[in-house]
Amino acid sequence: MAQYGVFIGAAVLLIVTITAIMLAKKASSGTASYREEDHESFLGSKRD
Amino acid sequence: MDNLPEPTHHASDKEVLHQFGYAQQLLRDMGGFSNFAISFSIISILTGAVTLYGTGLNAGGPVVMGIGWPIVTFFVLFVAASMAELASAIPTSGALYHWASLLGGPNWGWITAWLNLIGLIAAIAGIDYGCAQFMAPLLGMPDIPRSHMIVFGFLLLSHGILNHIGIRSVARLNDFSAVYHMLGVAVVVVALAFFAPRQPISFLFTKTYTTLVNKPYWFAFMSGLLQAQWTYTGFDASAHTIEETKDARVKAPWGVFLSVAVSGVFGYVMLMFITLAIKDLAGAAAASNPIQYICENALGARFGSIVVWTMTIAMWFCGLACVTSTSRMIFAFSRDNGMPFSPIWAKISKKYRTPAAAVWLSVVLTFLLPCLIFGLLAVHKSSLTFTALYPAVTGISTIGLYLSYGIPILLKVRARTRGSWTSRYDGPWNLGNWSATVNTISLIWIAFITVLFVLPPNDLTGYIFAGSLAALLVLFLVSVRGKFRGPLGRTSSDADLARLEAELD
Repeated sequence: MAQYGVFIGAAVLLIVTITAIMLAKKASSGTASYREEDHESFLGSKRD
Repeated sequence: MDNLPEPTHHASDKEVLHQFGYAQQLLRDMGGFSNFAISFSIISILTGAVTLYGTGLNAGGPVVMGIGWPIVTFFVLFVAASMAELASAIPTSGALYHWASLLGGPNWGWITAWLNLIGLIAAIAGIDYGCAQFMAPLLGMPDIPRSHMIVFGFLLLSHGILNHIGIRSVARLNDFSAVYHMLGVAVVVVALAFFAPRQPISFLFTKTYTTLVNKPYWFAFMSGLLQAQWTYTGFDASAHTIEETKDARVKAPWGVFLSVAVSGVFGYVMLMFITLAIKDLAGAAAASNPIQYICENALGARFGSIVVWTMTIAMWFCGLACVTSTSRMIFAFSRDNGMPFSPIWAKISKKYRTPAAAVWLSVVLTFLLPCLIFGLLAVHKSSLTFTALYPAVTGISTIGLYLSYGIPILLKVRARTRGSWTSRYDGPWNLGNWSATVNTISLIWIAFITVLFVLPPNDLTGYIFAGSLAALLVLFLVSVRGKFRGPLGRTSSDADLARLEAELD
């Protein structure tokens, strides 16, 4: 039972992590081309 | 969409605002980190996850922390991504209200604005009253409602003054707050990791416990999700401060999304170590402050006191950011004549370039909420206390806010289905061909939690929320229907916008 629970927990965490990364990557592709002309990163520093 | 201006992706922040018919009245001084920090501070894992820790533990036990938190995080990421897309497409501080108005018409905008306001006011009340309950005993005051109300009043006053004085100082405080939250979690986690005895890791994923009687465990577990769901509220603040953010169409959406993602990670690590440090589960669940009980049992009274101070300060930061967000919402709604006495609340302080009147209205309305509840309790001679009503207030806040998040997402899905919203209206932060699926999952989750959090044992939330909706309906039918035009009623010319901006320079 304990091992089963840990397996489910690990699976849930993995799914959440992968989802967050995939959503962020998808959004990044849209902002990347925008940044090419605006030359600013998320933290505000100028990009060369 | 007839209501949306022709997209020009590389216009400046000010030019984009002008396209939507608004002048740059607020001081645009926030960077990406500050924008992220305001939402991260309102989500405040050291506030929501802590004050409702007992609610979660009593509902479903450690499994609510181990499994419930990631499940809620998963779905809230979809909601945040959907909102981030809209913030990027329509970057105005009215945010949800403005999105709903443009996508569905002024009536949808009006109801969205009020749901958002109800949620935000209930959120500030929940946060600051919770802070006052923690702070009064720490200041040596008796732990009674009168002391709580005095401290509550002073907390709101401090938030009002700082928000009146300026976005620059508030932004600095929010930046510090974000770092403070991360360091606060790190202190708790490191201390518990190295010095406290620990339960096996399976305790998080398999140990069930509930004090809810006559309910199946799965239902009790889901009721406990209120803890995580309330924590994940207020991330619309990044959208409400979008007119004060530089490079707004990119940085504000990231602020919305990342505040949820980063809170998910830090919140989970904190909850994991706190829960694994539980020695006596029934004792912790029955304690008035379970986190303090667990930390004191694991590491001694001194550490317990440090933890309470750490969390109390975090709550103060959370309340500060929440007043900022609420005041921008009131300002944006009022400049479109959505509130009673709108011209007053839409005024900007010439000296500080902040919506000063809206700041003080947020503070006063928040102060009145517990006064109203105490008044009702006194009239009905009820045995209930405000403390007992705390989960109901957080429930109202959660439902109000999430419904206001859901309406513009729903309207966007409808517009896309009708073909009036196409990808050309997307902002630079968009999910492309994933957008429809992500939006739909968000809506299903919002519908689910709205029903869940009004079912027993949260039925009190349902009654209060239904009463609020009935009052809104009356207000709408009597004085709004057919009269309110929202942002669609704006006829600002370039000369008008220039004049408004010149008045503040």
